[in-house]
Amino acid sequence: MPKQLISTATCSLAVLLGLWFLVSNWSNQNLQQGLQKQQDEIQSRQLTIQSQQQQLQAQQQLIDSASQLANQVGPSVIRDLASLQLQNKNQKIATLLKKYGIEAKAN
Amino acid sequence: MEDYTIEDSTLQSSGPENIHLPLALLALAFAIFLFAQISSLGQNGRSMRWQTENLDRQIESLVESEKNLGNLVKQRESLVEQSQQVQARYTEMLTDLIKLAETDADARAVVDKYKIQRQPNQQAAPADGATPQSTP
Repeated sequence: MPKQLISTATCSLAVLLGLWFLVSNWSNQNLQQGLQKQQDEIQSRQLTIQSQQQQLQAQQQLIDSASQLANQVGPSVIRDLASLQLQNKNQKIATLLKKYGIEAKAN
Repeated sequence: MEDYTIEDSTLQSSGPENIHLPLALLALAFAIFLFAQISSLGQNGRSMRWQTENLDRQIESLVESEKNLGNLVKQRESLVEQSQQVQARYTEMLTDLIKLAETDADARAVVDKYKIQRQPNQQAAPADGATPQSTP
């Protein structure tokens, strides 16, 4: 009788552990799928951020280029043109400058 | 005639009642194996939950960065528009200057000084190395 009880108890324990194993395995598979989804989302968001950074970089290049033109090279060219127009009384340059709203006057 | 009795211990112990002991041992071994597997699965599960929490934080941070970058791009749109206008205006003027340089020596001098030339995309621009030099 005690032998029968022991074998029944150990078999029941094995069956219970088997069920627990199945449930744990199923739970881990779900966690694994969740991780995969999160990794996919991260990858997608990283791509979006990379694209936004490229857009910002392009904007910055445009702003820098226009700023250099408007603050450094442009005024120098205009100053030289105005100076030449006044020195040589060049009407063609005067017309060009006037077209863009610039009028050279001698000091 | 003499009567003989055979006492075989193996025959006595091979009854259906004695199958319980090996069965119990087998079940115990299997239970121990399953317990080890479950323990390992539990450890993996804890590790994956930890990873999930970290990935959640990473996603939150990425969402925030994405939002900030989007705002920054929007904020710069007006500045970009102004820059485009300035660039277009100067490009137009420099293109006219290049045309004028074909017939006018003064214009030619300015074009040469600043190395203004048409770029492949048909935009007139000063050379990269051109430095502003003021004329007295």
